[in-house]
Amino acid sequence: MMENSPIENDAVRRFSVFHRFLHIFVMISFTFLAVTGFSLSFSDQGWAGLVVSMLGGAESAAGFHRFCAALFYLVVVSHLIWLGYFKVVLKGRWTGPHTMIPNSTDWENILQNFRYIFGKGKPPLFNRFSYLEKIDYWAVLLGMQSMGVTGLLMWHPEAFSAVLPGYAINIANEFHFHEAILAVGYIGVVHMTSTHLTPEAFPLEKSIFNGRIARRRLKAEHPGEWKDRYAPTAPSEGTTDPADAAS
Amino acid sequence: MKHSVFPLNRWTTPAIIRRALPAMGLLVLLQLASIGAARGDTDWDKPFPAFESNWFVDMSRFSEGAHTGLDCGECHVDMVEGTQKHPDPEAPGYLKTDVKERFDYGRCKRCHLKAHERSLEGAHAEAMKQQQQRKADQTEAAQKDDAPYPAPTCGHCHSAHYDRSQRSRVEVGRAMIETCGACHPVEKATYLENYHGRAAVDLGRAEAAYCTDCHGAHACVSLKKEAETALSACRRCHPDAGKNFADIVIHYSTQRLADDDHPKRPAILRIYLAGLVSLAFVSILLIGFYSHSFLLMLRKIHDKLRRPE
Amino acid sequence: MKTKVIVPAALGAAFLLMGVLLLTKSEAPSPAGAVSQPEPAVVAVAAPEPMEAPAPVELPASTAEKPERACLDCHRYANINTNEGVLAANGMCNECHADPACDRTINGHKASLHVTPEELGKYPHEFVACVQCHADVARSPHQSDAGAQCRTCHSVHGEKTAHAPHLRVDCQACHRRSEMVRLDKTDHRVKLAGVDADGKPVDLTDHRLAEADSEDNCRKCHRADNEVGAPAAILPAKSALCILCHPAPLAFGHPIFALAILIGVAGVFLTLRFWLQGSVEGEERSMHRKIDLGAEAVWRTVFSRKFFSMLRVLFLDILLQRRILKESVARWSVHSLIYTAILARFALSLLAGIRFWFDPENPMALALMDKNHGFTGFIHDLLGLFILAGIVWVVIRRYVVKPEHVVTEIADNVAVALIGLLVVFGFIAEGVRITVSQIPPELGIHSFIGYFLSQLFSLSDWNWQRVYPWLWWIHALLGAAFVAYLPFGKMRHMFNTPLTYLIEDVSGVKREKRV
Repeated sequence: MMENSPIENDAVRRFSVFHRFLHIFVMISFTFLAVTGFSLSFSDQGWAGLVVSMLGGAESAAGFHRFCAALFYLVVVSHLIWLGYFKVVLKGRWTGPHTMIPNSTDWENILQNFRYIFGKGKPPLFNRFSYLEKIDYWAVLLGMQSMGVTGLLMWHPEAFSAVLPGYAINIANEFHFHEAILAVGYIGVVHMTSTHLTPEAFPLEKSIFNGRIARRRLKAEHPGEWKDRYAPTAPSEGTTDPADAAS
Repeated sequence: MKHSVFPLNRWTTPAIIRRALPAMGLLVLLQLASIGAARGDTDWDKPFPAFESNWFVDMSRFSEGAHTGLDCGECHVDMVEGTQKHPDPEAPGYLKTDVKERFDYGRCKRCHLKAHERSLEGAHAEAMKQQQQRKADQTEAAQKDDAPYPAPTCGHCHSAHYDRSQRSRVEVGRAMIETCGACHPVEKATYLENYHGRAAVDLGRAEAAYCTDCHGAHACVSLKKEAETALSACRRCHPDAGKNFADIVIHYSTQRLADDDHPKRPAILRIYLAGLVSLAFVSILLIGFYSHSFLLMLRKIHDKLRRPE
Repeated sequence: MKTKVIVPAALGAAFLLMGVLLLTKSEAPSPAGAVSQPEPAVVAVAAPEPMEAPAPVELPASTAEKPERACLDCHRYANINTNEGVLAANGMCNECHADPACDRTINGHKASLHVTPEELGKYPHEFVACVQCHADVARSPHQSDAGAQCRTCHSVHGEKTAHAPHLRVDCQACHRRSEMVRLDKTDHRVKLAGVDADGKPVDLTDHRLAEADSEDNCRKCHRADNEVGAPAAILPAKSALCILCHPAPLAFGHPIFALAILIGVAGVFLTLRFWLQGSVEGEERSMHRKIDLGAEAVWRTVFSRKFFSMLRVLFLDILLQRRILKESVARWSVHSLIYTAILARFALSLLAGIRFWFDPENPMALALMDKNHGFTGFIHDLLGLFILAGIVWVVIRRYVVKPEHVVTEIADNVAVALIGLLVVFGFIAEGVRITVSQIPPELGIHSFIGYFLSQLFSLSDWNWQRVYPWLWWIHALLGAAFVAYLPFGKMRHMFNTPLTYLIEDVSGVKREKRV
């Protein structure tokens, strides 16, 4: 499909242009959501006033927050559309070892990883997505639903209080705030360390931006995928790359 | 020493400090911000910090206030009428009573007639009536006033000498939070936690609601009892608000849980429990993920360090 | 008397002048038109002076008669930053308080409120306005909520002069001569008492200051069975050696601490001497040449490109202890629990000390010095717990698990025992301190270990006020022993190891051969 893609022989393609594009959108809108949102919930701090005045006052900061939220949700929707396209047009599979669906190997991987952490075993052999990557994915996909719902409740309290009790708006506020802390705390520390600070990738994991991963690293970090898709079976390996077909 | 190559006498202490200054520049810069912040608190120029009611009138501030054109005697009539002795040690409660309770604020009517009339309709006027009732009762039980604050007169909320006129909506609103909050600390704290307070007071959004936008200017009504009154207050900014809308808890505080009669107690309890659950959920997840990431990173770095180059 | 004549005279002259100015500048007939005047500055000054403003028509005719004194003779807010202002403001106070008959009645007893200005003049506050300190009394009702304010002009003392627990003691409790002090349970501060034990009012009109640094003065509180929660003995201030874990002044302190510091410093010099016994850059004999050459080499290295590689070693190998992590994750964890926790307490103490030195009113420095502050109490206990956990883990590894490569020497035992005891007694002393000073739960709960221990201790009816000084001394002497022992025993590695890393780095030892 993409025979002309400029990928060297020592690397394979891990993320398609579409996925890289979505990630950049998520990255930017998430950052602005966090900054604008926290400058409201920590409005008594000096920096919050500074940020809000830079954005042109409380009203435009609120508008910007909602704009970014809509942008974020657009990413979720376009991902869901892509999933349909993947199934129908590309005849891909939604389940299986190379997908985001959790399965029993993940549980084994978690146990194995803990053995490794305490020096009692070797690191687990991940497939295309490690369990942390799956958590990253589902945290965004599911978290965005609840952030979206609670956010909408606070955006249009008049409409929602017609069908819900009034205190539902307050509960939405609590959930929205706590989950925002979870999201920022998770992305800022767990996601960042497991991608960029891990010794294999330090100082910067570029594969989500250029889509490539070195064959050496794929073999080490995702041996399952390596074995199923790229392990040299034919001497002509490297000329036709199955990664293009998969993504 | 006189003909020393190294001219010691030039190295007096001030000279050394002067020469060392550039080197200390960074340290000084680092400290400047904090010193400035701390000095701001002490307020050297204001010898009477925060105490508005004072025997001494600061004429520089009075001249910027709304009442600057008035002569003392126009308000303090009884002091200058000549018949009364001032100060009068024989007067009842000399030095003991609060001037804000003794002053005849009926005189404010002369210029602020409408505000005065509205103030007679609200909860503050009701509290004043009850207070006067208790004082008139003269009984032992009634004398034990269980109200934590005196019923407010004009002077409790307004500084006749220094309040300025023509302030912006945000300026008036921010001052209002402090004034009302002096006797309603829970309401102040909860309002500032709420969206309205954060937007209006902290972020200076003039369209957001301040105290009197919901509770009325001078009338000062409680919105706790009647849902209709509360809803009409909401509809001022939220014209599409339905019946449930007024059930949204603005002054959310767990302190209300102790008050069994509070109409919003069940709602507050539900919000509190839901918040507790979500907070526990978030804390457990974060602690778990953080420990996992930290330990995994340690092991990976250890392996990397041991790996031959 | 003089001021009473001068002030109205000066005012009168000023008003006359302004009146003339107004008359010559404007022909506008009414003050209402003054708003549109071209000279607003003149109007703004003249407008508030009520004596010049034409009387409004509605006022009763009686106001036209001048009262004995004009309102602003007394009620003008004088600028008490000037000498004239001080005299003017004090005039109002002296109106009553200079009268020997000025008094008040408390519990049926008369208490004098007579303050003689002449007496006051002998003491440091002669040229200070009454309302500068008694900032909230000039009002009706005539009473003070906040008490006399010292800290609008004076800063709090640091650890050297008044030890950190005295951050909860009012200035007046030490600096006034009254013997009567009390613990105010509402804000948990030690204050001057207005009444004595029998309910009789205490005469507080004597504005002379006490000799605050005399031991007798300290015994107001620091005696057996006091009620303000002070230990029964007077304890010395912290010494510079305490800075490893506590905010401490830059002073030797008690002679015992001074001795410990001297022994520690001497030990460092002995070590240096030992190092210089070998040859330095070919020089075998002259100590002077060795130091000269050595210093030259250090200078050349620091001011060269190697500086950056040294920074790298400092950060990765010394601060983050990369080489220990290379050995084993467990060793790194044990070492970090102890080392990083001590380093963090050292950094916090240094931060508090430096900020306080620059600005004694700095809120962050004061918070870090106050052991009962929520953040400080919590972080101190947490870091102490880390050290203790590290020590326990070390003990388990060395005496229970006994991995093959771990060799235990006597010097190790001494080091582990010293740090362990230091922390344990620190916690016990903290618990007893919370018990003795009757810290309320909402303050104490942040020091979660100390507060838990204090609850245990309060079950016993021991006289903890007498026990506390002993515990304090045990903890302090252990600390002194720790510092004195540093350069001699196992703890020498605190200097040795980082230095070895740096020397290896600059002298280019191959990675495989490094320690």
